[in-house]
Formats: sequence, C-alpha cells, structure tokens
Amino acid sequence: MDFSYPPEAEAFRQELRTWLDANLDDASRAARLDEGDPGERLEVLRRWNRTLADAGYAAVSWPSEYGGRDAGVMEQVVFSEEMHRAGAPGTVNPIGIANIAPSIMSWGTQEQKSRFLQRMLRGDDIWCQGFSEPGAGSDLASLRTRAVLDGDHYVVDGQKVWNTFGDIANYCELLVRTDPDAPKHRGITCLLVDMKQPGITVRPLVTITGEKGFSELFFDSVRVPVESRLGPENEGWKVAMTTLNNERGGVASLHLQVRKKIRSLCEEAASPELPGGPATSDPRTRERLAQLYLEGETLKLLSDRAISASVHGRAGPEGSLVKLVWSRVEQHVAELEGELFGPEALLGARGRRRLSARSMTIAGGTTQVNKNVVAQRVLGLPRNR
Amino acid sequence: MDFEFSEEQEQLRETVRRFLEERAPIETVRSLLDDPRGTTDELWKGTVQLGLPGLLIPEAFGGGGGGMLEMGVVLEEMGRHLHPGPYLSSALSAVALLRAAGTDDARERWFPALADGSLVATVALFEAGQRYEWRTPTLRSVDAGERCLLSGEKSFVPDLAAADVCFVTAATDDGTGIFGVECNAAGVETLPLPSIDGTRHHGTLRLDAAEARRVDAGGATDGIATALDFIHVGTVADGVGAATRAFELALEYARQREQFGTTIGSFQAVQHLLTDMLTELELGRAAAYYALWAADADPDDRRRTSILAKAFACQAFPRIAEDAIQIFGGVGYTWEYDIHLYYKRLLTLRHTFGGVTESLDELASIILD
Repeated sequence: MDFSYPPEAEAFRQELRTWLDANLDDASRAARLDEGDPGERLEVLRRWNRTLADAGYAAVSWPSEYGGRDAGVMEQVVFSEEMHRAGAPGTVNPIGIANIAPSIMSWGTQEQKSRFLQRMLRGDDIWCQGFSEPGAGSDLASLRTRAVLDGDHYVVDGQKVWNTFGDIANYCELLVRTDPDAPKHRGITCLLVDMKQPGITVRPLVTITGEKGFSELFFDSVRVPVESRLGPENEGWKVAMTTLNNERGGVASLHLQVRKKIRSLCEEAASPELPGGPATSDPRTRERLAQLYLEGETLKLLSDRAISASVHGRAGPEGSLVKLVWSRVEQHVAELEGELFGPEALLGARGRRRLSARSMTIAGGTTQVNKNVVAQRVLGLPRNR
Repeated sequence: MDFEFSEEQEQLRETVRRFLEERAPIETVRSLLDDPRGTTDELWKGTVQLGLPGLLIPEAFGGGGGGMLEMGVVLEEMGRHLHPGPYLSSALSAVALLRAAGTDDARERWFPALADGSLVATVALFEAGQRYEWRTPTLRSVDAGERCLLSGEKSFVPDLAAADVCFVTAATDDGTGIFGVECNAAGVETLPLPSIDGTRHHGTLRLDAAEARRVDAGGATDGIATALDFIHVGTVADGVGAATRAFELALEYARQREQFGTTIGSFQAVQHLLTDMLTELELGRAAAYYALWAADADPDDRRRTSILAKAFACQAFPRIAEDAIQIFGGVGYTWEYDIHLYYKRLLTLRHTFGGVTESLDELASIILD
C-alpha cells in the first residue's frame, strides 16, 4: 500500500494549482454559489467555462483529440481535489461533458462529433438529457415518447420530466420510442434535438423546496432530421448506456463536498453562535458528530479503494457502492444539522438543505434500484420478479 | 493511490489460508470450543514453522521484522477461519506492549522466546466491573528488591490458559506500570472465564503477592495507549476476515435455499439485505486496511485511524453476522450451522478492548477538542 499519488499526478496538481491561482477570479468563484441573478451568474460561469476550455481543463477525462487531456483516474481525482480546494466552479455543461459526450464519441458520425463536441466543451451549447418521463422513472426503458419517421424527419410527440438544465439547454439527448412492438429495450432510439424550435415547450418543475430546479419538456409534432439520430435506429438504449470507462474519478470524489460539510458542522457545533450555545459539551451530540464523522471518513476510504481497484485492474465492488453510501451520508448530515439548530432548522437555506437532501437517494438512480443492480451485477443474484 | 496488498503479502495470505484450511478446518475449531487453551501443541507448532509468532519482532531478536500489514493479513485469515488460540495475544498484543512500553532489557528478555514461539504471552489490562477502563488499575505492585510483588485481580485476560507469561498493568508509586508475571509462579491463579464465544478464550488472573518483573521504565500509560492502537487494528483485521466469511456464507445460502418455489436470493428483500451487508463490509474493510497501513507508516495518524476502524467495525461487523443469521432463518439459530460461531467471534470484537461508546467518545475528542 502506498497512498502517495504518482509523480505525474502531483505534477498535474502543481500545474493546475498554479493555473487556478493565476486565473480564478472572484466573480467566477462567487458565481458557484447559489445566489444572485441566475442569468448573470450563467454568463459569468460561461466565461469561466471558456477559460477552462482554452486551458484544456473543461473536460480533463476526454481524449485530447476532442480537447480533453486523456486524464487517467488519478489525474481526475487530482482535478476534483484542486477545483474543490480552490472553490472553483466546474463546467456549465456537466451533463453534456460527463454523460452525453461519451455517447457522441462512441456512436456519433464525424459530422456530429465536429458539430457538437467543441461547442459543448466551451459551454457554447448547454445540453440536457430527455430521459425520464412521468410513467418512466426507475423503469426508464418503458418510456413512451414517440418518434415516427416521416420522410427524412422523425416526428416526436410526448413528455419528458426531471430535466436538469432544461430551462437553459439548447440541445437535448432525447430517448424516443421508434418501435412500439419490440421488447421495451429494443424499440428505443436516441436523437440529438435542437431545443429552440417549434413544438417544444419547457415548463419549470417546482420542487419540494418551492424552487424551480428542473424542467418538464413537452414535444408536440417536433420534427427532428434523420441525420440528428445518434447511433442506429432502435439501438438508443445501448447508446444511452454508454459511459466512459475511466469516468471513475468523479464518483470517487463525491466525498470531498460531504466531508467538508461534516467539518463545518463540527465547527458550528462548537460555536457560541449555536442556538443554545456550543453543543460540543453534550455527550449525545458528541457521539452523533463522531458517528457522522465516521460515516464521512469511511466513505472516503471506500472511494479510495474504488480508485485503487480501478488503477490496479482489481475487480472490486467498491465503485458500485460509493453512490449508495454517499447519498446516505448527505442525508445524515442534513438530519444532524437540523438537530443542532432546533427550530431554526425550519428556516431559510437550512430548511431548504434539509429538504433537498431527500433528492440524494432518488436522483441518478434510486437507492432501491441501485441495490437491485448491486445484488444482480456484483453479487450475481437472480433478477427478481 | 495503491490500496492493495503487495504480492508478498498476498502470498503470505495464501500460505496462512492453506495452513488453516488443512490443519484447522471448522471441525477442528469446533473441537476446541471448550478447550480453554484453544489450541494444540501441534497447531501452535504449525504457526511457528510458518514464522508467524515472531512476525512483528525485529530480526535482531530472531523475529520476522514484519509490519502491521503482514500482521493484518495473517489475522484476517485467522478471523476468516475462526482460529482459536493465543496467536493475536502473543504475537500482537504482548509484542506491541513490549515495543511501545518495554525497556531494552524487557525486550531482550522476552522477544527471542516470543519470536521462536517457545513462549506464549498475553496482556492483562482490564479489571472486573471497570468496563474498558485501563488507565487506573487497582491491582497493586509492591517493591521487593530486584523484583516486585503483585496482588489483585485482572479480568477478561485473553488466552490466559494458553499463556506462559502475562503482562499485567498495575498501580505503582510512580503511576501505572507493566509487569511480566510467569503464569505458573507461586501466588498466581488462572481461572477460565467462559463466554458465549468459544473461539476466543478469556480468563481471570488472581495474584497474591506474585513475583513479577517490571517491563516499563515508568510512565507506561502512553505506551499502553499505543499498544492498544495496534491491538484495535489487529482485532478489527480479524473481524474483517470473520465478517467476510459470514457474508459469503449468507450469500451462498441465499443462492441455494429454495422457498416459494424459487431461491430466496431472488427476493428483493433478501437482495437488499445482502447489498447492505456488502456495503458495511467494504466500508469496514477500507477502514481496517487503511488503519493497518497507518499504524506503521503514519504514526501521527495512528490513534485516529485505529479508533475509526474500531468504532466502525464494532458496530458494523456484528450486524453483518446478525443479518447473515436472519438470511439463514431457523437453521441460523441452530448449533449445527456454523454462522453463529462468526456472530460470536464478532461480538467478542465488539465487547473487548473497548466498546462502541468508548470508541466514539475517543473519536469525538480527536475531532472536537
């Protein structure tokens, strides 16, 4: 065992740290926080995104031919650590870069690659995914948004929901049903859709916090040219499931934010500002903080094991467990924060944080579906009925 | 980022695993459940032939000069095979105490015989009715010229019946001291303390003006605390092995047991339970392995990492065995099936050398004070 990072990763850290010191401005740093006018914030973030892209930092895990830097797992980890350390915002286009681009790289035509990837990288186009539907959540493959071929166009009708960035995106990776008679995974096609065209209505979805966080998309006879299809017709499921094999660094860095929250909570608990005075002399609070700390630290070590497994080619279960554990820890942080602040837990940002923590075990695959996946793919248990 | 055991360490694991599978399979373990020594001369000799008792002892004293990662690999295998007997007490606890608090004299006296396995030792840190408080022993030492005389009682002494020498903490005029007591000396009485776990044997040590030899040079408390760091990590490594096997047994059972016309492993309720068990196991494994590494490689972080591993394992590992029993259902509650033996082993982990409350308390002091 050796927990030092390889010299090339440390060299990358130095390079990135120097670059961040020189290039990260206060406006960009402030835009990362969820405050101020959203439109202005987006413009600041776009500018920062272009700065990142010009330096080759907008999508470090991408191949260099597309403007990435072929970063391996350790470099991705270093990238996350240094961005976190500097308080730097990431790309404005995280869904495009992490989820959609890999599909375009593997399945796209040369024309699609050159048309989309550069602009995606620079944040010129913001992308969203049109996957979930009111009737297709965890059971995504039962989606019903229809596309019917009409000459050289598909005509799309249906509804999508839970679109992150649906309100600002100008492109959408859309899953549609093109063969209603085929088994459900085999009748799906993937389209790359221009969002700024007639027939598409974007409606904000008001979430549990009362804020607009996601969008609903309505498609009413939207015409999508055949050349915007990604991959073959009826193979959209495979297209959508494409992810970069080495996209492990992101998940493995989830612990950074949550451990920072735990450290802050420990500090807040010791503060005289805490309602009722410092709680760190209360044995029950001490025990609960220690327990939470334990959860955060073991999450980090599990993540490190996942990285190590990936780097050393060991088949281990850790990578599949990180999201399950991380989401649970996030919720425990919110619960303990509530406990520490008493009735003030119901107010303002604190109250919103408590509520938004519920999304952690739902978004990106519910805990229950993830457990099915681990049971069947990692433990080799039979599919349940 | 290399969180993997080295090739040599994996070879050591393979060697120990083969030895335990061949020489101490579960039938042997069961036959030793009521034997207070928990081992046979032949089995102990087997560990000696593999050079295991002296693993942590410097080569200059005839030991293997290994570190905690090697020790962890051995203990994980021993936990996996529910190996009874005094290995952990002698090769880890006693050696760690001598390393952390012993004088050069004490090491020269005991290391060579501990290294070649001709001497089996254990440590007596706790007293009845004191839970896990070790800082304030009531057992007392009185100076008697060259040697000292000890009187009092120690409880929950691991592997006492198998030990030739016991390192005992005692109150002295200059604070807590450590003393080596020969178990067959005059004034020494050892009594078995049968617990629910037959794979881990404990005893009560009664001393009545027993002759003893001072081990430390005064102010032993810090050294004892350091030794406990190593002991915690070692017991957790043993727990990783036992919890892993308990999980595997439950998984195998869920794959083959049929009810309602299908394997119970196809039921979502069972699948989710197994996934939860796997999650806790892998979190605990990561904490344990890191603590093994840090024990030698990062002494400044040793206390934090060892107590972190201990606090996590004490909670999670017995729960894994409880869930395993749940998956076995009725037969999991029988003597015939082996799963209860793993549960008991993991309850010993939870309830010896410090409990959950004490571990969380200590962790809280590290992060909050």
